Amino acid sequence: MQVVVNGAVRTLVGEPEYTLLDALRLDLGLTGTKEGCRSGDCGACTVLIRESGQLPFYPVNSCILPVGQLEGQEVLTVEGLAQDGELHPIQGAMVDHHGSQCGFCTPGFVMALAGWLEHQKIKDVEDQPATQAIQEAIAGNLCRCTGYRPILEAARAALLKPLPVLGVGATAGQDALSDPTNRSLAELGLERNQRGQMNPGEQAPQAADLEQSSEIATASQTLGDSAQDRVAAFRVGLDPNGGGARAFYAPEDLASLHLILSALPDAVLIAGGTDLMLAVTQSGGALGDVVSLSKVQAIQSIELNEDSGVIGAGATYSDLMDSARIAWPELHRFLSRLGSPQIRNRGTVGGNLGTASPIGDMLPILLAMDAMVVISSAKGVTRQLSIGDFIQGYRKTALNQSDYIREVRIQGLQDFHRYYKVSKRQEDDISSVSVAVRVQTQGQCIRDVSVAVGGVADRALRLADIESAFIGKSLTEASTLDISALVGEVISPISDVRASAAYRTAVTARLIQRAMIEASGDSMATIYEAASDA
Amino acid sequence: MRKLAGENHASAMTESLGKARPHESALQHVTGAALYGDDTPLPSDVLYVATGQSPVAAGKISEINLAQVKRSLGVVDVLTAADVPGSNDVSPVYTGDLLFAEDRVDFHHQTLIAVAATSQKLAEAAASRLEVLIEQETPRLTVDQALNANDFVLPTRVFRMGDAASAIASAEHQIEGQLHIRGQEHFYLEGQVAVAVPTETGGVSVITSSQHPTEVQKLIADVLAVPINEVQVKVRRMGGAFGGKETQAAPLACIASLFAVRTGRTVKYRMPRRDDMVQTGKRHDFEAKYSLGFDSLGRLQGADINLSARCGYSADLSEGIVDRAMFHADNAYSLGAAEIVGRRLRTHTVSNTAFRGFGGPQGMLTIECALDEVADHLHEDPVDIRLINLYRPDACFTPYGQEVTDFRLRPMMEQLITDARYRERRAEVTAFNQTSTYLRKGLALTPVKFGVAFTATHLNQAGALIHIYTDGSVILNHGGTEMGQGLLTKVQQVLAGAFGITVDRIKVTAAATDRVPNTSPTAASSGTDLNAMAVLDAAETLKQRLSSFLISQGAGSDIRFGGDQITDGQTVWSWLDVIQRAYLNRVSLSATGFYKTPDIYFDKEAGRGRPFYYYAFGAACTEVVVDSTTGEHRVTQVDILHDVGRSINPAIDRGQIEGGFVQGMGWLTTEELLWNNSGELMSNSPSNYKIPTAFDVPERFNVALYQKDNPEATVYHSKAVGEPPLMLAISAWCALRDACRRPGEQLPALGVPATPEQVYWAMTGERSHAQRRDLQ
Ligand SMILES: Cc1cc2nc3c(=O)[nH]c(=O)nc-3n(C[C@H](O)[C@H](O)[C@H](O)COP(=O)(O)OP(=O)(O)OC[C@H]3O[C@@H](n4cnc5c(N)ncnc54)[C@H](O)[C@@H]3O)c2cc1C
Ligand code: FES
Ligand code: FES
Repeated sequence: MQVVVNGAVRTLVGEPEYTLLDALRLDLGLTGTKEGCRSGDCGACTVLIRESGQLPFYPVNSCILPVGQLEGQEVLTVEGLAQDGELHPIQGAMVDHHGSQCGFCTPGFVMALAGWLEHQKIKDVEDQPATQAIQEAIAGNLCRCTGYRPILEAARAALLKPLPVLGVGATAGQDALSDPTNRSLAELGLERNQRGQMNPGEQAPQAADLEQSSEIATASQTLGDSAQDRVAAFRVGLDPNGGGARAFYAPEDLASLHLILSALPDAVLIAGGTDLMLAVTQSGGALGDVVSLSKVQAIQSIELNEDSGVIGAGATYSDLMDSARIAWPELHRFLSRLGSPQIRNRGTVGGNLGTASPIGDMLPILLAMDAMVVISSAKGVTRQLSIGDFIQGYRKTALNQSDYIREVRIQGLQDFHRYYKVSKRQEDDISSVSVAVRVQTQGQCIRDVSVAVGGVADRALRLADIESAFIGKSLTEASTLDISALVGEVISPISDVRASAAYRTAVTARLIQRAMIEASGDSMATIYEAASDA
Repeated sequence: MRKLAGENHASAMTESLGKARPHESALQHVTGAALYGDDTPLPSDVLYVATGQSPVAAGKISEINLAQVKRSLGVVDVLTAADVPGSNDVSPVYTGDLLFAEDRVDFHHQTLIAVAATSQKLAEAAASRLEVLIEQETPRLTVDQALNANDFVLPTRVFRMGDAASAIASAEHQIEGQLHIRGQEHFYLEGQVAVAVPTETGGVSVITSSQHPTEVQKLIADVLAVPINEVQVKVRRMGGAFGGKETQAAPLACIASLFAVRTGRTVKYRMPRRDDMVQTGKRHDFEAKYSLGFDSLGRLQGADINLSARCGYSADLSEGIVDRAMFHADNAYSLGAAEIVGRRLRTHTVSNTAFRGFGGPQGMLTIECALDEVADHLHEDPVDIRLINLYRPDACFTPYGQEVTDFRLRPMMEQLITDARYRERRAEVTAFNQTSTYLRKGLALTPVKFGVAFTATHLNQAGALIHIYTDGSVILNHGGTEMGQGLLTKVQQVLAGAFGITVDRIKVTAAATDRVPNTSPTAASSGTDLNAMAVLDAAETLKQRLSSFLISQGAGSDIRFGGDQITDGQTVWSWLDVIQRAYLNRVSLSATGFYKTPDIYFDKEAGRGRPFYYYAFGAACTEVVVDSTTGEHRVTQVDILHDVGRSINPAIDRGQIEGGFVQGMGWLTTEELLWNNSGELMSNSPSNYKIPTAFDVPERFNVALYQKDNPEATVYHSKAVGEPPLMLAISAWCALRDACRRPGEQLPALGVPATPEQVYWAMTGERSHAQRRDLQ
């Protein structure tokens, strides 16, 4: 398969779980990108990628990114950032502000910030980012030496400088562009992009579309041999010998996805890979045939209406964060606590559902928002399950073989809701406890309430007994109701490395209570607000 | 003319010394060009290493079955203890640190065997197929368990000054307490790595990420059973070390070397992060107990401080580390009569090792924790109790008998109290806490006094090597290693100042055992103190030679170097001109230099002496806010005043101060090491061991250097700055504890680290939960 790396077309071969980091370091000799953890936690391996020449680059963790997902895309590493011997503004600023000590984390910071600056460029220049925005931009990058202050200052300084154009099309990419194969790649990117630019109205696959797409799938399945050809067409040419037992497939539409899933019932689905790839990099596991969802635009759209919404399973957290800014501000705020920018740029809602981890942060929220999960079979036949029924146990879902999640539908955006997450560290940490509460009122009286929690059982769950304790009460009554004993009865969390059982129970009760106090109109300042005033 | 030369000299000084020059490798860092061990170009037949590890924490090995491992795809060679031709013991000072487990295992994940295979993946796959039978024993994991079993890695030591017990008993007031202090994982961003290339004579040439290339060299020679001169070790730079690469890098280099010699191929051993976290040593956990007697002003009359360290299964560097904890149990205070006891407990855990501060932080935290209780007992502001107890002219001897001279902390603390508006903010915090319902603030101002020098006196030596080439360019080499602390940058500046030439003429290079031999580790904050002085010595030799040469050619006797020129006050020659003429006249342009720190000695048995050349001082004021519903907290403001003597490079010094503070803050707030009851480390990856991110650093982070010449004859009268700032973060822990106090109640106990959970229990006063029982 071919990828554009720093403006040049490179051919890569390897197994389906072959990561971009290994490709860069071991095969392309680009050792500027560092390995610090291989688990998406440290950011030393950060590079920029983009779908095509027209979109801005965005930062990702190359250590957990399978190269199969990058065919025809563009990768920019720290070696490709400077152009014609001219440092990128963030590189210069990092030198000027003493942003590196041992330097091992530096390429990762430089790339994360170069990616962030790309996005600042297209934002309102008046909108000077606060320190917090920069801190969030590098929340996925660890530095053990500097204490970060000089890095934050470098970012602030770079922001004031004119930014170069990155990648193919920029001067550094001239050579690549003058090569006819590369030109066609660039054009291919362009074409993809145009295909990807759907009108807002078209985005969410509605029930009717679902039917239609399943027809397409059936139709193409009758094609017999040529169907096999179509399956093969989406096989990413990673194998050095052209054949081989395991392969990576990257379909681009539902019809092809259905074909592939039908042909390969044992294949494993990968969306962002931010969960799945850890099994490979941490436990040395190998994947079988892999089917990537990352290019299936049809399951990536997000539509948030006044009170309800549809989120494509393949939508990334970053996309969701953008969409939620106005329509679902509580989610927008909460998502900044999920993973890091690099993780949010790849990780998907479908992946969170597919993992069904007890500490999946979207799950309590979806439970509280009475979400319905739309599942499709390989034939394109869809069914809907409530999220409560979808999650069947510890990392166990109601998905059958070759099923995939197409989208999830939520409601109650108009209601009062609060989502909390407690972890040892504020940024890029896994929840000890997460709590989502949604309150529906009639006047001052609680008509209905959803209380969902994560991190306190083998799965995320709704706490029906707690909910009933609140229903019918006035908001003031609810805000003073002592539920700690009841919470202690209905949950029995475990003690582990993140928190003790006693703490989990105590904090769950306190957070539910806190939501009720806030619902009653008493806004409770957070430590972050307290930190930024005065 | 003389005046002119003087000016030139001054301008060369300002060009290099005291300037905030960027790191010598900054450009390579930001472009990805800087090479680390993992980036070493490798031949295509390179072999990769993985290890088979113990699945239990303690037991006798009854059988190791390698059949499956050897049969595994890509495997070229397999090693066990029996295959080591030389010594299997790779201890730095004493004995017991093993390369491979022999007849028993003593910690979970201890290395049993090593595999060399054609790829990293295949090596790991092969190692995972190891079959081992172990007669399991119940592991001893805690200090208390080891105390009960009376199991020590090294003997207990005591510092005594006067009769502490009766001084405490006869004092007006007493307090007693204890503190469980957890360790810390280094989490250097670059994991441990070594690459070994076999030589034609049965030796090896090794690239390692080590703070102590000489020791790596010696241990490889021991393991291979070859003379030391068959082994060359090189360190260009480390991606962070923090003490974690002082002894912990050697086993990797030894194993890679064994394979290289056996197979005749280049071998790379790079630990995956998880191995690094479970197999390498960490900061020591301590169980600290203290009892203090004091008068009604809060002035200490006597102190009895017991520091018991969990050393892990072997001694490693625990002797010096516990000593240093004891040396710092007074921090900046005259304790009155004192008894300080240091115990070194053996446990079935990985052998704990050096970590920035080297025991000092734990000793210092103990006394700071205790002083807060003194203040609480007397209802005084803790800062006043600290001030009243500072060393003073009539009380200036430490419990180990060293006189504290040039004590700067009183003016420093007073300046910081003013600059940080401590008194006003104390009132604001009190007012806030009176009205706030669930958010609470806390404030603390704590000092640091840190002793500089290796406490093992013989290590206080250094060597250097300088070559000047005929184009006037200079290569500089010394025994110090660069781990990000800016050593090479500072030494380059020092040499530029000495030669009076621009920094650009000087190239700093990798530490290499075949260029400067028998070096000490780059540790104890002494990298610049030692190596820069050795460099100055070599520079002086060269300057003498050049001066004599010029004089022999008819120049005046007062030769000066500066502004890229050399002058006798009458004539001015360019640097290049003199160098070229010296070469043509057969003057040697290469010299070595040597330095040993003067005036230090210590009698270990008596616990008396002058272990430190001087002290570095600092003070920090930290404010925090805490949410009582969850215990989540945030540092909102930090003000630091830190003593660096005369700074060689203020930007580098500031970087050390800020980085040290944040690293210390991580140790005391979010970084929690937890083992389960079978002795397996649970916090074994960055997903469950959380070092600070940029978000944890307050926007108001004010750092000022206290610049006043070091009266000792250190390089340009500067002071060491590597370790001391870490302990400034104690102010964050004290501030959190301050915030946890409920109005009208006693200061509660607070765990270390003060995670949200620990803060929550401290705030609710539910002591029973304050310590994790399920996890150690
Ligand atoms: C550093 C780091 C930090 C993280 N932080 C958080 C955090 O704060 N909160 C949190 O909740 N999670 C976190 N995660 C976990 C992970 O990012 C999320 O769970 C994410 O939602 C997974 O999405 P993905 O697209 O990457 O899933 P993948 O890894 O691609 O897939 C995960 C599983 O879901 C299945 N799957 C994916 N998409 C579908 C689909 N459409 N239909 C059926 N099955 C599907 C896959 O087959 C696989 O079994 C973190 C991970 C890392 C590495
Ligand atoms: S190597 Fe740490 S995030 Fe990729
Ligand atoms: S500079 Fe060393 S980790 Fe950041």
